[in-house]
Amino acid sequence: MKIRLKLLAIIVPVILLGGIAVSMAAGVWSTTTDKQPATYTSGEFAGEYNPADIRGSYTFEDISSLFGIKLGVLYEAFGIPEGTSGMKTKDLEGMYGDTIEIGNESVQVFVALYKNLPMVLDDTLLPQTAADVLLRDNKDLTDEQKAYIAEHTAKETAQESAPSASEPSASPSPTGSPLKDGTNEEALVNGSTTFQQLLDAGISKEDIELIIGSPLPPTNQTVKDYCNAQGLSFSQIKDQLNALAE
Amino acid sequence: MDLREKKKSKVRLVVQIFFFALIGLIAINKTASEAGAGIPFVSDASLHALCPFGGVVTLYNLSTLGVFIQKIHMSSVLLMGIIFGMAVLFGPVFCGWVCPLGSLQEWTGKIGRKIFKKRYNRFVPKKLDRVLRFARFGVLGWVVFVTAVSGTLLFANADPYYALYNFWTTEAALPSIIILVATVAGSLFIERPWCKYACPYGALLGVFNKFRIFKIKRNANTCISCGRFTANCPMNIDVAHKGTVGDLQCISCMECTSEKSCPVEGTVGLQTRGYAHNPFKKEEKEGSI
Repeated sequence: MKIRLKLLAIIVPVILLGGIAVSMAAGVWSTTTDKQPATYTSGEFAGEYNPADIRGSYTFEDISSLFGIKLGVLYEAFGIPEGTSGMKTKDLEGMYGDTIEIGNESVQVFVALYKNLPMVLDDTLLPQTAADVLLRDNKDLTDEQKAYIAEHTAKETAQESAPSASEPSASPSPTGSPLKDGTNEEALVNGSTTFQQLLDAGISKEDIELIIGSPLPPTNQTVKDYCNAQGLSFSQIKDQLNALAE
Repeated sequence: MDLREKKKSKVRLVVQIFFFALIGLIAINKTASEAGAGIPFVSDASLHALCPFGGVVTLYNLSTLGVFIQKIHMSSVLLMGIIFGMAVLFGPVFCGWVCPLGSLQEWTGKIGRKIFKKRYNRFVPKKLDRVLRFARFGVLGWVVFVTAVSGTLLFANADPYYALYNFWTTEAALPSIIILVATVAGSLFIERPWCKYACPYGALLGVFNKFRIFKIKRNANTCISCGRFTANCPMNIDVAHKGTVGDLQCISCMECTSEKSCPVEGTVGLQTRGYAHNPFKKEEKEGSI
């Protein structure tokens, strides 16, 4: 059997594009991560999505549909103009600038408090607007949660804290809110950091094992995936690792 | 059909331009989408998601941890499977017909060919060339190893293909841009230098040349040994002295076939069956490597 040049010119695009089309039709073609957070594995909320696994690539529309929170509420909480679409939670960092740390973790905490879902609360900041929405919409907040909100609210709005070309660092510190530190350095550990990257950054195997409380897992695994699989608090592990790296 | 008419066939060029433009459009749309100005009905997938080599390097993670490497998705694994399937049939047709980086090198090479004429693609001494051609297997091994250990796409920082479609973004690392510029500049002297000496994916696909179903075969009985197909082979394969081209470097571009270079009808083609040897016709050397 012989294949002519012109026939091959048809076969190649047909197989390639046809293969993609068939994959799409079969529902297996995916060019993005499945936006399905991990679920609680035990307890009262077993089977429900865990807000601690919300990732920076999730859009507010994703979170709205996954956790059943109205998009308008999310926008109001984080000072996002109505009519915005496709904004990712990690985009909050650019929106609020470097002076206050509002980002994906703020969304995780907001969702957990708004929906009364269990989550280890650490030093994550919430914008004042998010605190107002929580106190207004969730009457079931415990005193402990209300105290957390009061202590972890950044008073600045996105407009006040956004980086300005003329005054890049003139913004005052948020009042009544413990910032993690006063620097603008990017933290070593985030949701996509692997154990190999920790080793490359100079953190010893022993230190990592001490923090995670078990032998070093495969180095190609992300710290976040490991924590989710082991039921550990990623936020706490991350903070300890970041503290080591400083 | 006479020889002059045969040589005008531009079907491969059309396919190359189509894929070059398609992937370029998707890459531009990705940037536009992030700025809120995406083009309707055009995919805004990331280049990583459309990279079949990403499917190869994520296999270790997928088998050991059950997850993809960051930025790699199911699409990469599916593309890898489709391209492997095509390679089983026709060899590395992805390299010769689809890969935009290969096409860019080839088009740049046409300028080099005009400048250097017959000296073009003959600058590297044969002995050195033979050794350098194994370098891409070293690159393949290194990329697979560091990706497996780190769980991250470290190769993207040095990948000229990624730089080609991301040089306008902050995602393209400086080393990848430097390698891209060096590759394009090198194409003025050597045809497809990245493919020949460094491409890890080409190295992997080249292995399929050993057992592909449709192979480039030469009929020694009708061959007049003019050497045109050897001269036209972008990968410098000595087609004139082979019955079957099983060279690891063949990219199935069909430039050596009777439809493109060979002046004798039906002498070199892509087919399953070979030709019976004519014992009365004297050959300098024949065989496959």
